[in-house]
Amino acid sequence: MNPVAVEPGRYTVILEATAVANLVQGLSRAMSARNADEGRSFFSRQGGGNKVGMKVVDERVTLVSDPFDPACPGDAFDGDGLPARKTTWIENGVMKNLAYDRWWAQKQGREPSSTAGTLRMLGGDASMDDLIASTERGILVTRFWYIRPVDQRTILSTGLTRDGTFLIENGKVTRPIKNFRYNESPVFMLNNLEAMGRPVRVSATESGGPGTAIIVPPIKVRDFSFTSLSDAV
Amino acid sequence: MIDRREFLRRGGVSAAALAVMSARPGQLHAGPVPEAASLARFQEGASKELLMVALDATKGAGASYADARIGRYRQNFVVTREQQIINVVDTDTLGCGVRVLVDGCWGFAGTRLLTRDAIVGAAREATAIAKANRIARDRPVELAAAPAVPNGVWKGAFKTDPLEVPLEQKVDLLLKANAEALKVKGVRFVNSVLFFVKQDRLFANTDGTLTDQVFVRSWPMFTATAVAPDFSDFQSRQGVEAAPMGRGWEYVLDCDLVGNARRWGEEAAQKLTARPVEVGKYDLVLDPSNLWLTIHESIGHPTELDRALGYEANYAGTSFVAPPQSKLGSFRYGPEIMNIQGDRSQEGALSTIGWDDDGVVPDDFMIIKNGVVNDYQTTREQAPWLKWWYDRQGVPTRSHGCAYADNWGSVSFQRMPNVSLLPGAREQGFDDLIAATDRGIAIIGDGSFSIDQQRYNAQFGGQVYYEIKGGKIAGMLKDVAYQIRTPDFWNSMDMIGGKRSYRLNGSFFDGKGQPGQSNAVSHGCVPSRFRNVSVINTGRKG
Repeated sequence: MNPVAVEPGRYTVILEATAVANLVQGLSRAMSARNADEGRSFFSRQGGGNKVGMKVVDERVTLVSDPFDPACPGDAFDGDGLPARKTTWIENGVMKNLAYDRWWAQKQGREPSSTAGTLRMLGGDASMDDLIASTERGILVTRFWYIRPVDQRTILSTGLTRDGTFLIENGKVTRPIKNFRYNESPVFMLNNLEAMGRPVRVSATESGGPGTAIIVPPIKVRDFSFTSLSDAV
Repeated sequence: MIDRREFLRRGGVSAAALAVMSARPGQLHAGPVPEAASLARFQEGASKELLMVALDATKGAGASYADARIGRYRQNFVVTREQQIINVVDTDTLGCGVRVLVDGCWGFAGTRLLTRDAIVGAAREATAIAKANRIARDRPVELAAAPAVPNGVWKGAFKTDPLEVPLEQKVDLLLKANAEALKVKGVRFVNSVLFFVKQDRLFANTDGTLTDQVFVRSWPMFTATAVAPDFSDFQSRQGVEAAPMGRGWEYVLDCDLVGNARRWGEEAAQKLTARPVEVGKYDLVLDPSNLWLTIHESIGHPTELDRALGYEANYAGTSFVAPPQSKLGSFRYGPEIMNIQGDRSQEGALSTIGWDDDGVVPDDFMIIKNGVVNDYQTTREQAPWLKWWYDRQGVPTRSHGCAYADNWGSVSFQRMPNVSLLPGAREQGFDDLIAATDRGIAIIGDGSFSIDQQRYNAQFGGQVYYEIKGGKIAGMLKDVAYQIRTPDFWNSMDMIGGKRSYRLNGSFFDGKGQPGQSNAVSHGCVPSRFRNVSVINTGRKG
């Protein structure tokens, strides 16, 4: 295949749904209300409190956990022993809810929230072909791997592309390229949103297990940060 | 390869502990609790007889080799924050695993019932599985010779069994340490954990080996978090110098958590006002508390022979140190001063053991000798694959003793021994390396880590970073991470510490295999200097 080396930098990327799930899961894991209220989270509000009610990402982004969604059903009860129910985390780009456990909810006068082990991000109508065809120059990413948190203040993580990374030129996939290391945050990524495809259910674990039931769209994003090249194939 | 969510789920550790574990590997495989009568028989010393029952049951069924393990695997975790206990976790599991070779194919089965019938049943099942596996046989398994150890007894380097220490003492230690850090202005939160593992393991094989071993691992974990009053920033400092060890409660006390907590807290608070690093190339002076993890990821994993031959491709990945024929004796990993040893013999190290799960006495071996690849980590099954190399070297073909199964019900396979950078001839330490450096960054403690599936490209953070100017520390930096291409990085190493600066650190939960298994491994090293390494600023605003 002879993948070519492309200079690291900020690129327009088309992320397949698995790659999107790899990063959006990081966002959902960072949603502890307590950490936010304690001032040690991206969701802490400067000056005190948290970002519920604030716009945090592009207005096309809506993120929910719905255990009754037949396409990604969740557990009947959450980790606190409460019946699972639908929770909207982000609606039209605005933070609607954080993860309140029973104790913290009571202390803050809120309702406990529930993930029920599922996550769904609403998408658009574009096909993968549409996303690629609309891209003059960009990178197509199949998935990310060895993803680890780097900076909790921005939910920045690092990891590498794996299992197929391609150059897009003039609306066409033209050649395989070497893997990249990224340093990026799902928050920055969802603020730099260009277009969204149709959501699909994926398995986005590194271990090969099924993991969280997650449905996300493939997306096109500008200014995605690749910081170095990898020779790994 | 490490999955921390899996670890949290399986370990039952509360989400509140997640922050303190964020930089750590982990899969935790707790099996079913012991069955009462089986536990009684185990404690009465019936295991050796039952191991013989297992081996006898495989005879006459066509097995050319068999081994059996009976083990009790226990864990105790105590998790606190500030002045509260968050969680206490105890796991306990006991059972017998039987492994057989029939016509060069492995079969394995286990049972949690330590009765003659159950063990005979497991032995027969293992044999049936081995026979069924013949359909997929690529080449027959051949085991390197290993001398029989008729009655081996080994105990790890612990004095006080941490499982015998009352919970109150553990909690008291953590809450006192937490309180010390909370005295520091700006420190708002502290998370601390004590992890303890104890394994009682008996092993017998048809070569005549019978061993009885007990080992203990302990790991005190501590994180202080400082928050800016206006919520504009928060910074954490993990007390990673209190490394996990194959030692007992006495080691935890030696770590002096209470005495160190205030400094860790002060450094967390200091990071709030540290200067963001400028992106660029720097000479790095890495403390052993940082370098151990770089060794683990960029040398430990790629010199596992199964990975080099493609076996782990689907999950944790393969290795750039491949194929062995083109690397052994010729591939320059680093400079002449670079000597990397594999062993399971360093006292108090996490992978140290008397006999491995093949019944082999592990030896000390040089993985990298004077900068050149010299050997791989092996089991009895793997050593014959390198016979051509050992013959050329005039050394016997023997396993290095790297077989390990993380539970009685897991199949043993090649896991990492202690992999260590040996000290240099010259007696010098961290401060000497800084004094010799004109422009650089000194890094203490391990932080974020990520590496590709062939172990070429990696990125590492740390706990605290200091700017070096003209041989002196010129203040604290923050938001530092270094990116490496493995062979370039190691070839840039130009100064290493001497014997007195050698320290052990390690990973308490290191994952590999599908289904995943967890191993613990230490890495000894000396402070070392690397030239012209790429440093990024991780404190992005948008």
